[in-house]
Amino acid sequence: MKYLKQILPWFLTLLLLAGMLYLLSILTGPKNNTQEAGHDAWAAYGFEAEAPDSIDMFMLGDSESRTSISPMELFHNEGITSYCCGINSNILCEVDDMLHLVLKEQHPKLIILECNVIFSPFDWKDALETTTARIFPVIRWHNRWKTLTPEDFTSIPDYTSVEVRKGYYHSTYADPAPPFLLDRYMEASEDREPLDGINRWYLKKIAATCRKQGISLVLMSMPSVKNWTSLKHNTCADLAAELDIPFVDLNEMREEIPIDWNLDTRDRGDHLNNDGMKKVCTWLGPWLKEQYALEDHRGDPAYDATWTDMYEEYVEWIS
Amino acid sequence: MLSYCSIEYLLVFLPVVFLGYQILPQTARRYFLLAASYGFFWYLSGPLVVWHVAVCLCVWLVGLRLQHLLDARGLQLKEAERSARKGIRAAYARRMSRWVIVAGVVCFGILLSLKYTPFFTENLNSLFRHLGLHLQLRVPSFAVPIGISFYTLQAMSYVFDVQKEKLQAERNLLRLTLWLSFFPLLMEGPIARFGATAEQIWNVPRIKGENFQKGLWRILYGVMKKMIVADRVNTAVELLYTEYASYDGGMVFLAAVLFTVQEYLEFSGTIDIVIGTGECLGIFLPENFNQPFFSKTISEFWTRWHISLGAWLKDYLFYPLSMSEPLKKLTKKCRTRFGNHYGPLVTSSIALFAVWLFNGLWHGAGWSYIFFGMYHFALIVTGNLLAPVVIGFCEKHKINRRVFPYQLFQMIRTAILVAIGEMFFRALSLKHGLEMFMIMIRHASVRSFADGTWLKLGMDLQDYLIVAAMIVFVFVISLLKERGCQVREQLYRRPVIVRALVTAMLISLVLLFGAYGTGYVPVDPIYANF
Amino acid sequence: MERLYEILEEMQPEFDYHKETALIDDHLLDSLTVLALISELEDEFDITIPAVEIVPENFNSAEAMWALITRLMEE
Repeated sequence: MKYLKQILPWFLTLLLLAGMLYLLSILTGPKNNTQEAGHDAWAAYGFEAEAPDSIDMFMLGDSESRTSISPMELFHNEGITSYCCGINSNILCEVDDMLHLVLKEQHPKLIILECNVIFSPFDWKDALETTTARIFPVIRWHNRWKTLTPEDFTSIPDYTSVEVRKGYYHSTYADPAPPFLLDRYMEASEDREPLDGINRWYLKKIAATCRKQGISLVLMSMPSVKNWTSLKHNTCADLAAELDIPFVDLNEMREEIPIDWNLDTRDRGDHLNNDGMKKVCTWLGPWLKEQYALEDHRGDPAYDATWTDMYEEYVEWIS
Repeated sequence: MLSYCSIEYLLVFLPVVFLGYQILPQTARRYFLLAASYGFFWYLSGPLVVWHVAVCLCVWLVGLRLQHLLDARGLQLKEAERSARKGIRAAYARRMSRWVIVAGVVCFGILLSLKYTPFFTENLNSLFRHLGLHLQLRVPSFAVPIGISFYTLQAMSYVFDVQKEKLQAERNLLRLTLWLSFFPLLMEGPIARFGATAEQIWNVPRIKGENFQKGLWRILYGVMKKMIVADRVNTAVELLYTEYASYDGGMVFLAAVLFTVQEYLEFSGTIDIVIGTGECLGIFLPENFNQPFFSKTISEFWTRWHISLGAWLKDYLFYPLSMSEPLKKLTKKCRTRFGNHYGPLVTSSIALFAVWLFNGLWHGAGWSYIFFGMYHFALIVTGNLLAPVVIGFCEKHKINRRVFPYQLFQMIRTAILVAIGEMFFRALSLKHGLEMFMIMIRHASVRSFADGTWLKLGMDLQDYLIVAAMIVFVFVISLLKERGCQVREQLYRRPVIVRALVTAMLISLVLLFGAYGTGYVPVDPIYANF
Repeated sequence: MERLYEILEEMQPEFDYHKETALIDDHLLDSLTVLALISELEDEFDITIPAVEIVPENFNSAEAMWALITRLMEE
């Protein structure tokens, strides 16, 4: 009894705290996946506005993934429905979080994990923040107290804005990669890029989730002279062997994907531009169909509204 | 950098310590605290912990030696004739001083060589250059253990207290070591006295619900100060103190005010976390702040701000110096010539000069810190010089110095003088500080506030508003404390539901309004490097 | 004792020394006054007040000061 009397106030405190954080989360969370609603990665979350179970493939990763592959391109060429959930300077614990969000309403057949994100450093505090923010989004959105509008007080978060580009980041700009980067690009090496324990742990967690859900996972590195090295390649090859998943290094496929680093990059060899993306997709589409037998949804009326009819608009965007 | 206001400390270290503390039997607890404290030290400073152990051993041995001499003196005094007693006392006083000097050389020697050698060699080198000598010394740089300036003063206070017979020397080395390494005190003080705290820590009381709740509130109050204000104004402070030359006097004044706000809330917030940690365990550590911005004079300010440092300087430097034979004689002479106010002022100014030189240097090895000390020394001496004049003036013009408007004027004046001092303190160097001061005087203007420059420093209007709201909150709490109202005591008497609501609300406020996440970098604790 | 009250009145006539018990703790006497006072007491009672004795407990009230003075006169 005495014990109970001591515990009770603290139990009550935690209960009240949870209630307050829940309410604050609803208040501060953006009410839609749009810039106007205050969302900072609205494009990546656009899949929530798509019909449930309508997307067969997801790309997860950092900015490399959202500049190298365009879902609309793949749909127009091969009829594959996909979505790009890449977020700039992402870290693996956030990728893991995104995967859980994806699996709420979608049951994709394939997930492409872009490889550069595997190496982005983070620590247990970032992981803690991500985990807490999943339960109480106020942790992530708290700074929005500055820009709250009357609507924020009267509605709850509901992501309904369909993205024309499906998470792809388009750029028509070309800024050639400097020669010194090209000289160093994919220099042969037997060394391994070191990987922190927490990165490895999260990668295994993501792989396990996919295996449990019956989703094929593939590690794929996107072309980048600035970010990719043989060292990273070697580490990824080891990881893929260890986890028994395929690893495809687009940086090694100069024949199939002939990137011209003078024309196909928007920022000196860091990311691809539209021309680069098209070269990647030209190879990727048929390969995906062949390897994973992804369904062709062209002509399916269920996909008219958010895919077929939007293609025109998409073409306008990227030109 | 780990600070008391970090996830590592608040969510990992503290819970583990509290849990271990509560589970273990009382006899094991003190050793657990000692292990936790040294673990904390090791985490921050690694093998540099040997310097701390050296200081502990040194003051322990010197303490025992002093006690031995005191005991021997006691026996001799008992047997001696009355007339011989004075001689015996003097002889022992000399022998004891020698041991105190040994402790001082070891403790301050470590502090000086680790922290001040680079500063001294640099200045020596520039002196050589000015003299035209072709002699340049290599400027060494040493890793400095965490909190060295704090624990050095704390260790010396023990030696002085044993010498002055305020304390019995401690025989148990572990007891002394636990007091000197107790983890909440380690990084930013308060500089605790052995007599008031060692016993409490060694007794390791059981955690009680009331203490724990009140301690937690105190910790949360500190976290609020740090995360809502100190971390938020950081970007603007950084910018203003590096790019001051491109702003006008109004912005430089803002820089002075913002840093004063930041420093006060950062330092006092950290002390809140420190004292709160102690309170959770049932250990009551000394206060370090007493509503400093209600001070009417600069001397009063220093009895309310960083109290433990001021008290240390007063007890172990100011009085011993002004009560030394030569200065006592001087006091006597001056008193007959200049009267009871200006007479002692001469001697006390000499002692004060030493105090403020020490204070400035203690804060850091740099001319800007020395200037900071001299600035306060000048203000205090001027205040004392003018005091009779002001009193006379007020009496002549029938100004009542006890009415609120006059006192408010005094408080605001003191706060502004303090803010200007803090500007020199924060400036990147003394040269920068002087330049900033000149801009403030020469280009005094409010234009930057009218044209919106003040909103382009990395803080928007909402940031200023939340900072202002938090200052008002701290002000109200301070006012209540000043009026003698024990806020937490009052809150604790309310029903459980109210208490739970307050705790939950404080945590929610931190999580909602705290300056963390994208766009914010937590500030390294300002005082931890001293 | 009466002599002590006289000295105190002379120094700072503002306070009632028969009643005040926190002269130092409440910052009624500042360090300048304390220095002057010590010098005066040493002359008046022919004693030496060592720095060790300059603690609030010895100067908070006239009675405490008197206790200090008598103790030092005996030593």
